Amino acid sequence: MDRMSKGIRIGSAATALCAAATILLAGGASRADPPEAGVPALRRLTEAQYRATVGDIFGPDIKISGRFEPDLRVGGLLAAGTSAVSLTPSGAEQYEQIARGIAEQVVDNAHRDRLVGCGPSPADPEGAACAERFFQTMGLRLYRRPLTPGETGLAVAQTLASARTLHDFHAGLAVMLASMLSDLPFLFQVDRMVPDPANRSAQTLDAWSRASKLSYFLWNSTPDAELLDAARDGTLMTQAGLARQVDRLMASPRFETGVTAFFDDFLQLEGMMSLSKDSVIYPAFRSSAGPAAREQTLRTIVTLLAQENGDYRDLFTTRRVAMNRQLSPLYRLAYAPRDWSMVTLPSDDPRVGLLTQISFLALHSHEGRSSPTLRGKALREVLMCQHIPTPPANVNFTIVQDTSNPNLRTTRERLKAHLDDEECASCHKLTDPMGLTLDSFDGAGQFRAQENGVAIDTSGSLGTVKFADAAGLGQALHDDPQVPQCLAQSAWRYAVGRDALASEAPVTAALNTGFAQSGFRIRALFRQIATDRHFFAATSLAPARAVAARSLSRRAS
Amino acid sequence: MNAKRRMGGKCPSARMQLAIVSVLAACAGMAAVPAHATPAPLAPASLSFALTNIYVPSTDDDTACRALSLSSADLFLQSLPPAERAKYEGTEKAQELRQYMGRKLGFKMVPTGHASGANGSMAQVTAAEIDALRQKYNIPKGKGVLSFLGTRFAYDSCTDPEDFLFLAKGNQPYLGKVAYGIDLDGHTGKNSFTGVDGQQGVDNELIRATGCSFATRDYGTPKVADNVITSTGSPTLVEITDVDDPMNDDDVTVHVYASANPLEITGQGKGMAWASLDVDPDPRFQTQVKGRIRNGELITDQFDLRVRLREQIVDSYREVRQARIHATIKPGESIEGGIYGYHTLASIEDGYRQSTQIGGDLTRMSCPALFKAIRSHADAFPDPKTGRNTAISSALRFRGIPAFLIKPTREAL
Repeated sequence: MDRMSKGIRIGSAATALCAAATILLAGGASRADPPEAGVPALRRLTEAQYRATVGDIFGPDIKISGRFEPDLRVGGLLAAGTSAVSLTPSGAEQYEQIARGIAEQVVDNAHRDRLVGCGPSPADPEGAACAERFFQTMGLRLYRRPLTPGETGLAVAQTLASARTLHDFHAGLAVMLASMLSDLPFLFQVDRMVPDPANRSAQTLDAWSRASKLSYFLWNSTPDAELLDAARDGTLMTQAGLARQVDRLMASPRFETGVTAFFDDFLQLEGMMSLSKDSVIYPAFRSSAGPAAREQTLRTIVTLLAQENGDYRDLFTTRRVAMNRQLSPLYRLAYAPRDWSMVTLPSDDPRVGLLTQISFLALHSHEGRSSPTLRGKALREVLMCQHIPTPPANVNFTIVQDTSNPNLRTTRERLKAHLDDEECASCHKLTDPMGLTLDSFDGAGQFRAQENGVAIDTSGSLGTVKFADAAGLGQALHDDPQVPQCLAQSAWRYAVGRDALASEAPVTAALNTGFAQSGFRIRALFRQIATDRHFFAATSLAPARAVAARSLSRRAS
Repeated sequence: MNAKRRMGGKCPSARMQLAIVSVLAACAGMAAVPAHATPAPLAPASLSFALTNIYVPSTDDDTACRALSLSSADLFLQSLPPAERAKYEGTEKAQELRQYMGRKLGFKMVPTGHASGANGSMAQVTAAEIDALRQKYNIPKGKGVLSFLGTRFAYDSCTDPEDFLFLAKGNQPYLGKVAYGIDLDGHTGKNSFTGVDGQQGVDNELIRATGCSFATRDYGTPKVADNVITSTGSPTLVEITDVDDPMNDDDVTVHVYASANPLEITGQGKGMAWASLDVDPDPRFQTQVKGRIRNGELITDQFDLRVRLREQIVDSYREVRQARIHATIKPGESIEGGIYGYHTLASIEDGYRQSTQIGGDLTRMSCPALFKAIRSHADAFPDPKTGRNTAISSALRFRGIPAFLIKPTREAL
């Protein structure tokens, strides 16, 4: 360990915490009126956002190591939980440790010329000017707003104090940088309010907050220089300026990252990263299969919806899927390319659409067997935004778990026996008729025509719609209006980072309408959200008042 | 091959239109559903497999060997004066003994400065570089071999057994009456074995020469080998084309290739079925022969076969002349059988040499003794000049799993 690293380790904990607390106070003092209940003032960056942000600011070669505070899923979305999570003491410690690792790299010999670009000089022996320039530049990127003069002054003073203690300017700089990276304005998206220029009696997010909100929604990362410029010059506060930036962000290839992040959250695919299957029962499902299947689904979605601007509903009926050699054995497909590419499954292949991809099938199964109930539950909850009650604690699952029962050889037979209990049947009838259709795919998502020597009956139903196989189920979901409505509502909740408010019913209704009118194009949906003034509304009252006003107006007319 | 198939039968997987390379008709396809599932209406056009192991099989006859053949370390220990021998006796001293042997006998293992080649292949090292290494490390002129995939240059009793002839003893002949193999020469004589299936006149001098080595005795029985040996480096690929009925077809073509990719492995360490594997364009590892399937048993005509042997530190080959493949095919599940013919000494010895003393020590063999044994038991293809036999009757056993074979483009060839 060199002298500087040692110095940072010794000095940083106390110094950084002190500095962070001070800056927080400085930032808090300048904050506008607190937001009203129900609307987040703070949203913690997800791990993916944190990583992308650091990569964008400092470059992709900066390594980020450490454990992050777990995210919280609210109403099916991790994004909706970002406004509900706080920072625990142990979490703060972890963030600080990660921050120190980043800061040490930023000032090391390999990076300092590019990322710091200056140091103490004869004219500036302590490096105050250098530190000021550094924090004015980096502060804007880190806090996604300019530092106040007080904050800049504090950062410079703290850097110089640390440098004196550690006898190293860059070590002092790293101490202060680490403290900023551990600081709330970096770790959280902060909503700052200003009077709404379109309606002086209401409040809206300021331009800097708008920039953050747009960027994290559409790119899942921090605002770029052009977006920050639009915030600085005020154009982001105008509808035309806003639309221009939204179109620019969506025209960028980085929009695909934003779409990926949304669907990753919406489909709860992070579960694939730690998904394990019984290697005796499913030897082909290696530990790498889960992450690969996640990527497969996300690549498929991005290709069809973001790149080709396809109809969201077609995800359930398409025979096109992203493939690579790692997954092709699970699909029993000959696959020649050495990397990912889109393939079209043969017309007689039993797999059709998103539901027959390994990710959905394996994620919503048990470790050693399939589960029509889990799959049906996921269909209802994830794709249709319905709620299925959790089973009572005293349910006896013995019958369904015994896959070797000679008298109940298929899952359908075992579930039927299990449903003798009326209380269980009431929920299972919501899930199983859909889930059983997918039982021709085992717990690892591999096709099987039979179970224990008995042909698998894949007939099922969704409401009054009956179907014979997975293709029929996909078509039923494609045609069900709840499916795109659920997506539109989820996209709204994802964008605003919380559950929808009752007062936002008109907003989501308008999204449903717009989504349908666009032919269920995700680009149109995201654009509608990103340019909707309610997306930047300070409180829930504004739309509520608007609704009330409209109702009154209708009554009067 | 029937007319329907010639017209182009239905093969779901082959419908994928892939620009870069062509997909062999790896439909083994009816096999895509379990054996007990409803049969597909059309027979597959071809069956393709990746062989997960090829090895010299041995019976588990406990009386077949008087004792295990001695290793080079055993022989070296025996050669030491009593006082010195006492110093190195005991299993706990085995490592010390091997190091001492290496020092005493002048074994060398030096870096070449090269990384191994692509996909675990041998690095390209020039003759001039090799001569320079010999000079630098005092390795006798013309001696030593590239080893560890060309990352090392070695000189020891495996690379140059003729320099360590005092280790060429202690090999135990296989005395069992039963062995894997077939009657290669049509004669039943005093040297013939009885096959494991009761066939008379089985020719397998390779097992007689090497059947009492530690590796063959401990890992050579199929019940052990099939669980322990998985060849991952560059598996041999077998494709059976023109198949109308996987159970009975009098006219099929069997193609044997090397894979350009390592074998994919399951979570249990076994070969991954249904992986897509590239056929290596190297013509040295591409052969084809006519055959027939009767009651699910594949039997080929005679042909000269060369398969790649690329495993861990070795990038060598197996060469079997007048080879015949006998195998049981379970479409969509497995292929299992043997390669019977005359294994060339050159290919066996190349593998021994590349194993080096390190491999010899790990498998407890004495390379000089094994070289001597296989040469003395060689029973076919005499060299026209020396009259010495250059090949040895043998049986190799293999198992395979279904795979999709991806053929190289014409340009790549």
